[in-house]
Amino acid sequence: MPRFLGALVSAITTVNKAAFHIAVLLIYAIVPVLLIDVVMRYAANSPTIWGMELATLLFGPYFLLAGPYVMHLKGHVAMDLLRRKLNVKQDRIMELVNLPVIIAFCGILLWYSLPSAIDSFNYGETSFSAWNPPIWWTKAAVPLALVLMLLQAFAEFLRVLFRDQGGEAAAP
Amino acid sequence: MSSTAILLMMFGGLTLFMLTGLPIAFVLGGLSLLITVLFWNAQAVIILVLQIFDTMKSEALLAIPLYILMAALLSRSGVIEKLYRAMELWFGRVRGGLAIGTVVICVIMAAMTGVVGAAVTAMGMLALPEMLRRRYSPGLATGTICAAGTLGILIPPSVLTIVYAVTAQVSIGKMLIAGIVPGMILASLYIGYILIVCWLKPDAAPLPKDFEPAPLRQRLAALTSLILPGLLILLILGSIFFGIATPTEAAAVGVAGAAVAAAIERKLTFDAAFSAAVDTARATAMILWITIGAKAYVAIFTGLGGADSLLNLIRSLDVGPYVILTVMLLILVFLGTVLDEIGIILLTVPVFIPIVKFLGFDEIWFGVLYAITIQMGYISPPFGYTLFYMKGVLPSGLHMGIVYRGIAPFFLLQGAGIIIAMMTPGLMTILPRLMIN
Repeated sequence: MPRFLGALVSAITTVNKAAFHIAVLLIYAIVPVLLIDVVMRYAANSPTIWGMELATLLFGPYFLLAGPYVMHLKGHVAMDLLRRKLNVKQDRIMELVNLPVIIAFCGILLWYSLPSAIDSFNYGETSFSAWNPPIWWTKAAVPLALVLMLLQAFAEFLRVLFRDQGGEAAAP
Repeated sequence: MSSTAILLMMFGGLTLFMLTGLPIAFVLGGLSLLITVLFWNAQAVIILVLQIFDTMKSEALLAIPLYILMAALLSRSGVIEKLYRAMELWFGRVRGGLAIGTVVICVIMAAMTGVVGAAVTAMGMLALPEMLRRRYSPGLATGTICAAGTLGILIPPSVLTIVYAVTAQVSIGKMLIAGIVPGMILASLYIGYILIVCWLKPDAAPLPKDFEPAPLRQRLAALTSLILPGLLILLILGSIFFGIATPTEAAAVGVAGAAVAAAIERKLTFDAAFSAAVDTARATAMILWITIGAKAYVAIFTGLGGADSLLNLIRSLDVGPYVILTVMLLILVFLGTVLDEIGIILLTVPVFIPIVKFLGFDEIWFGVLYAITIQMGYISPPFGYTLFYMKGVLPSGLHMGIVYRGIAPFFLLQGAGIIIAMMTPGLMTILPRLMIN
């Protein structure tokens, strides 16, 4: 593939690998937050008002941001009964049809989710719980993850188009 | 456009999209978008966005990565190897003992973790070579491991049960606890079957000629390996059963317990913790992206009146409730052979639950039946997950044909399990009814 496209593909994959690793480490933030809440509730008998809520607020960004790189790792399950019967050429054509579907899906959803994330930021939306934290940042994870997924699908599309399976960033 | 036509389009489109090999998450999400834009109005796409926000703040679904992480840490902790050694010392001198012991360990692992892969992989690496060395029939050995490994779906905690409970909107704690009785029944069926096979065909599981039982002191010492798993199980199931903690809180404590177990075995390295978290993020992202797609799909399906027209169709059929129930279960068993199980639950539960309510059946009991059909899906070719795990650990001399033949009797036993569960709704829901609140 042309050099600038190759650079683009590996840049996208690198960014998504970084996002995946941030998500990977997030679980080790979620667990202690929950543990503090459990200990305070059952041992000290004074539950935190923020424990469970903070953990659930982190949960969305956690699985959303991990998604794009998992696609690169071919970790999203698919029904491959028919696909396994195809030869290499037919399989490649299917891939060239499927990846634009993902791009379109992310694009349309992005179109509708971006305004609600921007509104949330502009109004300084909070959760209206006892703790009442700002929640625009967790909503912002939706358009962000969709952009990243769109870019990764585009990168995978270029890889298939130019028959470059580029394994350089494949290992997690 | 009539609602029946839309119904046909949604199911037909689903089948067609699935066959292209597009990841299930995007099949569901993409089809929902397409139908919304074509047949509803474009502004309704906002419903899909709201579904995503809704999924993100689910406390119940947060339990999923926690139980996966717990399993990932435990399988790196060396605790399972120790359990296996203890089992070998105690069951090694019984005919078919290693196979029976494998079922017992799988039950313990099922009660510690919420995923299937960990048990199948661990037993495939530990028990399979030893059973083959003792000239067990390869079919019996691999079938036992695959089938017993799926007990994790019924025996709590279980990720798939959580997905069911969230989708069917029943109490997660009750649904989890309900898995215990049928899980034990299935485990007993497996053990009974192994005993009968060994009795009819002694060659299927011969005793080694040079076998010498270990001294009692050594055997008793090996039992210390049960302490940590026992405590973990007691902690998690106990706190759920007595309503002390939510399943999510119990899962967080379980992760801490698994980390402590790994630390005691001196296996809690940075690498182990990181690779456990990588496995967790992969599995969770896969499950939750499907969840988003499925929620969107179901929202559109209901919004366009698909659920209502399906109910009307069933009302007009005028057949007995048990006939409809059997048809639903057969559909699930069939889907289990071709489709991912998370996808099946998320897609079919919202369609089936209104029918189940209409027929006057208990949703928790139906959940138990569901879980058994999912176990059948897990061991049946071509899409059974346990088969993939088994493939990864199979010695070079064996091929998958032996495994396929080996699981056949266990598939039938699971079918028998469904029939037992269908005939004893009272027994299946006895534990959840005993629960406080």
